[in-house]
Amino acid sequence: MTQESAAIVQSTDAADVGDDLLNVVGLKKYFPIRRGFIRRSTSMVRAVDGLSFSVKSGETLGIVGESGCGKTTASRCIVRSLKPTEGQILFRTGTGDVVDLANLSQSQMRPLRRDIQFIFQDPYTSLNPRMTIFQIVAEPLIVNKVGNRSEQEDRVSSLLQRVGLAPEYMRRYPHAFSGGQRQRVGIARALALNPRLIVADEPVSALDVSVQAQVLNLMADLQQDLGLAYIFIAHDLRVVRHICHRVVVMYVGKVAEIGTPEDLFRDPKHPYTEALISSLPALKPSKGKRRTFSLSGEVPDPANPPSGCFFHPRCKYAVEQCRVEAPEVREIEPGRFTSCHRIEELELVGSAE
Amino acid sequence: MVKTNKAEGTIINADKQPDRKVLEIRDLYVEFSTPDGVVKAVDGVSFDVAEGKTVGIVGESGCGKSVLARSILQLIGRPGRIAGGEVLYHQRAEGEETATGTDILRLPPNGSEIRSIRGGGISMIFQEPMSAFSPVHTIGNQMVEALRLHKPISKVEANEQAVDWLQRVGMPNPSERIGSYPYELSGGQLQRAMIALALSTNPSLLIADEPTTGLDVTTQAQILDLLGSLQDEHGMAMIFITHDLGVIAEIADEVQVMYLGRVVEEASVVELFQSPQHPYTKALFTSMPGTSKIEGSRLPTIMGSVPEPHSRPAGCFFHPRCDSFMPGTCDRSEPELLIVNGQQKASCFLYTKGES
Repeated sequence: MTQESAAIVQSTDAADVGDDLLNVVGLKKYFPIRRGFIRRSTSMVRAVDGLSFSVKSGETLGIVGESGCGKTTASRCIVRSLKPTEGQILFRTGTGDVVDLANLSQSQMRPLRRDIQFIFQDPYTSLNPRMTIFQIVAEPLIVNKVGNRSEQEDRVSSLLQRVGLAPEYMRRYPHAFSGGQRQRVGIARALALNPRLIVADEPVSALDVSVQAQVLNLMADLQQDLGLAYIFIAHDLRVVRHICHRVVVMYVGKVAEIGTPEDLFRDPKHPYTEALISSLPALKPSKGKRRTFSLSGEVPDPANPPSGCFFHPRCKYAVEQCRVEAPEVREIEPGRFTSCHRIEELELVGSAE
Repeated sequence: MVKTNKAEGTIINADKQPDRKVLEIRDLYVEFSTPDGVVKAVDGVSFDVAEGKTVGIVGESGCGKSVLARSILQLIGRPGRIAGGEVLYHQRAEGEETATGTDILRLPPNGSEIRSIRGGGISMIFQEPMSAFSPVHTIGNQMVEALRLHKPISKVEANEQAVDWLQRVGMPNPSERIGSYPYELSGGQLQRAMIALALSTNPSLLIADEPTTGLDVTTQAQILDLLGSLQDEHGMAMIFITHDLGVIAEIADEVQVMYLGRVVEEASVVELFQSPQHPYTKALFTSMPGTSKIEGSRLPTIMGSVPEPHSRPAGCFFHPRCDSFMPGTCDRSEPELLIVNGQQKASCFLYTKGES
């Protein structure tokens, strides 16, 4: 799978990929910082710096981290609205072939776009206010020349029903809908071409709690009925815990930890995960009680990250090794990955909640 | 008072009269005239805020919580209008308190009296620090301006106090940061700067409108800890507006749950989390991920969505979405906010059936 320009890897070679739908290997995305008159590139923002994970069919993989950790950039690389600097994005197509999305041109990518769809964060800016709901949901069908007009109408009407909206709404414009309803329209649009993977970038963070629950339930139902896989990007650990099967915790473009949400909460294997959990507001009255500890400082600038482990300036367990030596991501238990040098000697505190 | 050390702080708390009120809100009504009709954004809200205590106001978007906060300082622009009620402000005086306090709503909106209260006695912090600061002035200039408006001090003194406050809110390199423009700071740093700005005049009440929404959980935890410790130190009262019940649990003493302009439940934070009474409050709790007992299952939801504010349902506003809807009662008359359990109030017919 290392031969150049081999966009399509034959299915016989796919043993490495196992039954994964998506396998991201060493993904990097650097943005140049250009300065001066001739716009010379002086340094690089390492937004995503060697990210590896896999997504199985029908699975929800969460990506969490603070703002600036590269989670959105990683998701944009997977849907190829950005071209990765380095790395492989191996995707199993409907026919069983394994394709490296990272090296495809836009025209080679086009037929695959049906399989991978995107749900956006803000339902107020992701729908064109001058298009009707029909035009919005049918756009993927029209662009891909699927069906004639009346077939498209039938499809849109069944999609709207599928996401819990009345088909009569298709003649209306987005302004007539609430935030939760708009997010449903966004989901209907993502479903139009029967995708197998949906990348959802903070799909519920702009919604009220009561509506958030409705949308999360809808996404879970769709997954069950249609066998969808999700990459679910969020900063709300409780939402992630509820909906995800596995979670990648990112810090400044790198993996801090990978595990199931139960494992992460009960027994975190990276000090950063521990800090994230302890920062969560407890769901019981706790005024005047201090939390076990809270993280100080800020996420470092990805253009100028610290030496060694990127987390060491904020880590209370940091030792000399952490300052000097950049850690590798390693598997410490089946399915549990961490990038902490000292994890074997640390006793980290999770949440019993 | 500003430089209270821990020992003195406890003395101040000890000889302070219990529950001295800083603010009393009485039957506040705020209306907006829109092409779709009159929106009663705040519809008869009353509560008190006591010194050193935090009143949390929780509700979903459109429930009127931000309008309520802004109307306290008459910061409601057209087409909005304060249609009635009183907001009595008891200035923190060295001597005895006045019997009634000043009704802020009766003060001329641009007069010198209310301008000395805004940012002086009562400060406010906002959700988006990036849009609350002027982008063309440095953080320091904006702080110095505010300090000198409320205190007779020189620029040099004001600058020193500003640096001191930035230090106190945990800003790294405060003496350098004071010359920064808002765009040069991160969201968390800017929120710290806004808290420093709001607290530098030593207000007796801080109104915080979703100050941690949109920040990362780690930064949110830092800001909540900071506000809590500053409150301990200065004994200021707080009105804290949020949609996040987790945040309420961390910071509030008393809670007002709002729905479509009205308070539907009023309780101490302990009562609210132990035994929420109003069906809406109960539903808010159960629809939060992480509260339901069975993990991985479906979340209980509230059916439908918040109605349009200009066409609120008849009777109890929550009845079309309520699990305990009683036809003939809930859609006919409006429930009153009454005591249902200890000091806990709820406006729901479930607790008044059989009576009247």
